[in-house]
Amino acid sequence: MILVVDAHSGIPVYRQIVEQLRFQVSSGVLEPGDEIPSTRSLSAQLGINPMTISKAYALLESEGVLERRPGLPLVVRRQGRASERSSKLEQLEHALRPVAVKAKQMNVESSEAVEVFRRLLDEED
Amino acid sequence: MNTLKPFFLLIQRPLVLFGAVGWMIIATFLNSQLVSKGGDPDLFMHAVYLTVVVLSVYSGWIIGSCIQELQQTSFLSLLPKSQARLLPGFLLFGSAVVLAAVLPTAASSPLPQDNWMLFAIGLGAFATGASIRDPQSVFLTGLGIALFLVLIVTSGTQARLASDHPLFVVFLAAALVVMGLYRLFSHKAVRLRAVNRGRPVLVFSAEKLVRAQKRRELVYGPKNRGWRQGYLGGSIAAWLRAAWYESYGGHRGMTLLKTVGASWGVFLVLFIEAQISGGELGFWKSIFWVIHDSLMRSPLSPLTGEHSGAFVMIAVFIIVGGASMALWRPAALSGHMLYPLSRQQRSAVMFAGSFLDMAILLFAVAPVMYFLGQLAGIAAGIQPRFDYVPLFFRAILVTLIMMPFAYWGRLQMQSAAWRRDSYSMIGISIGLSVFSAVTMVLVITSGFVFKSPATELLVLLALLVLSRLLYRTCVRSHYRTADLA
Amino acid sequence: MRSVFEARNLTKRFNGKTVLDGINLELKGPAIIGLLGRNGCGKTTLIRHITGLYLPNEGTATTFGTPSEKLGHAELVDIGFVPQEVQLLDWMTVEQHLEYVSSFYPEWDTGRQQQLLDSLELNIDDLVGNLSSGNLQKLAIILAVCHHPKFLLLDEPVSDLDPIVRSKLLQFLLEVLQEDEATILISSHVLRDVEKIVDHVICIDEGQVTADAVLDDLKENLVEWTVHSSAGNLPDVFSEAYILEQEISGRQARLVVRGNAGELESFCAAHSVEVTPRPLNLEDMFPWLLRGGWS
Repeated sequence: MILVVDAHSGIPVYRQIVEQLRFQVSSGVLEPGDEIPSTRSLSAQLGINPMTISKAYALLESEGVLERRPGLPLVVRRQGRASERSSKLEQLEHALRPVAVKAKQMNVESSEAVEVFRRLLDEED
Repeated sequence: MNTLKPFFLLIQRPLVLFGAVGWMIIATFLNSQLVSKGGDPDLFMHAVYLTVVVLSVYSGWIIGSCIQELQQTSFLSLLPKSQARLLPGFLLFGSAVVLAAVLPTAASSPLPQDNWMLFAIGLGAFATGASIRDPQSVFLTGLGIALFLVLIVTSGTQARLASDHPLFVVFLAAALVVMGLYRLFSHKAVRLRAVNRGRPVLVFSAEKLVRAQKRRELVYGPKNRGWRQGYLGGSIAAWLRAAWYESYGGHRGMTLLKTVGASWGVFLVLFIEAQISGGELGFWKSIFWVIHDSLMRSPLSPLTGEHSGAFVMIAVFIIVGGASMALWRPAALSGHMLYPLSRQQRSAVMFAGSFLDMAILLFAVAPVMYFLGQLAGIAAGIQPRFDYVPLFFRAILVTLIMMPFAYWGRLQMQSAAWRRDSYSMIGISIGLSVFSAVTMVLVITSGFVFKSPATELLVLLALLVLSRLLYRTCVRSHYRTADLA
Repeated sequence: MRSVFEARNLTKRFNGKTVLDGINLELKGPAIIGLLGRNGCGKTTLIRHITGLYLPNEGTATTFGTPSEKLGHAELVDIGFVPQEVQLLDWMTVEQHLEYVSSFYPEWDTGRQQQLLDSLELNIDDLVGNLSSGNLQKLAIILAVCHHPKFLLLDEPVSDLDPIVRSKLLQFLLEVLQEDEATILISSHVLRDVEKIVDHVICIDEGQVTADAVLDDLKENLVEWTVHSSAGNLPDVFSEAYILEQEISGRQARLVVRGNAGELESFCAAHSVEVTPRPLNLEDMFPWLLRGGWS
């Protein structure tokens, strides 16, 4: 599992981990049943405080993204279709918020903005 | 004023001023007293020359050390015209100091025209003194020291030359001044000093002194200095062994010897030399006065009477005793680590360490002094005598009784040194010398007060126990309330 | 979490100058706590109170439940201390010094000692007196950790170390945290390093505690806002209490605020503006932490 955290960005590291793990689950990089690295090994890998990682894992566990099995490493939890979808949309909204603010500041019409977005989505690489 | 300021800022440390100027005042006072008490006028000039020369050299040495110490800092050579800034102040100070030495005698001198010669020679001596202590060139340093010795020993000759060949003397003095200035301030010399920062020059800087001591220890090499103890736990005996190890290293015998030598060595040398010149513990005569007497027939004789050398010698003894006390390093936990000991345990270790010192003083320093003294007496053709053993023993006991005050003084000295508090350091050095003097006085009076040796022994032993108890209280209270860092 | 150190109304004066002024503080662990502050603000003095080297003039300093004047062998064997100015026994070699100090403690992990000697690249045959300041720091660190202390205090431990060694050391501290369940207090000016590993931050300024909080909480609550008005100029000044600093120019403004999403929304609504928040890292936050009130 690859995570990229920037301790100096100002965004709390645990939040960065939570967001990235959520994204990896939503995008299928992590599939239900996949094992999550232990706090200790991830701490060694990223060079960050293990308590930060515990915090992130605890939050994801409470959101139902991860599942704790007694005596075994954490795994990705299989989520229901509805909660999967709402999670994806939530992440998308979060990503689009700054764009929306910019659009409003430039006084771009909503329909035009949506058109730009649609074009981007349809673009082939 | 700006031309003089850099120099005077440099020397404004109280310890420096005391050394460079203090003696001048004392000596000139003594000199002026001599004549008014009716000292022999013919020999007066000799004594005056000697005094002025010795003290000018000494004063120059201190000032020169200050300047050289500054020159060894790497940034000074980058400052523009840094040497030019120090020169005017240096010249002015030197002239003022020598003048201060000469003037009181000039007021009462029977030979007024010699005073200018005296001044010139004094200036030459000052400049020589300032340039002696340079670790860069052993040859030049040796030359400087030789010049110094010549200046001291030939004071009579100087006085004669001054009255017969004044121009020659002025020429010599000027040569000395120029050479001294060149050695001290020339571009090349300064650059070399900045680059080859050698031994610390001015020992009044506490950090440099400590570093110099440590470097000396590094020379001995750590080959046999292993430490093979297991866990020390909380046992005072075990930690005392650790304190011993820290102070004297694993190679105990040699290091202890060298430590004793470094601190008590000068005292030992004086003691032996006193023995050589006259047996009977030889305090009343010494090499210093033998030379002076033979060359000059000291003008102090009318003043001090029969034991003409006595007072100076005793004074020197006291001062050296105080200095030995100050330099002595007791066995102690000296590292600045976080020792896992409670404050009470640390005070116990320190107190126990003082008993080790007692043992060293009793069984190492004293017998060596006694033995070497006897050898010296034999070498001077004096039969070994044993009737002053009680006196010796008494002296040791009294010293042991008084040691706690010396320890206290040393502790204060260390913390003053680290705080760079020159005022305290002077005060404490004087205090230690006073302690040394009180010890001597007690030794002498004790001999008179107690008629029976048994009573005397009992009383002294009781005082010893008392002083140790007092010391223990002081140490405990120190550790209970003081900051340990 | 257990409390390893507590200061109550701790006051310390030197030569008439008050260095610590009525400090109230509690350190709990296991955790890595960053002690921040400007030069001369009292960090080293506080650390020396923790180790019992200093005694308070007023108030109390209690380490492992024992007041500082009574700290003894039992408590001190569980403390490791790396001072800012390292003074060791110059005449020993590194190896001898390690041997010597190892006898202070009941247990000494020679495995950890070797691991550190290798990873920090320190030669055991060098004379301590000849070590460069960086190597002295490395030795001081090794001396402080090999007995598995429960409470590790580091006063500017990385100032003389090169970046590679620094990052190795910080990694190692994380190991100590996990293996020994130790409470680590690290005082450093290199905020970038501190930020990577600490979870709790304490800030001291002029003898007073101005911040005592979890780092993540601080990051979430101290934010920089870029304000943009699409409808006319902004007012001359914003009077919201949570604004710490403001710079207004025409239709744009830069604010530093103490707040979160809720404040942002209400601000946008109240002033008809759009706000782009930027989170601040520890170095950005530092001047604000010194102003106080972050507990």
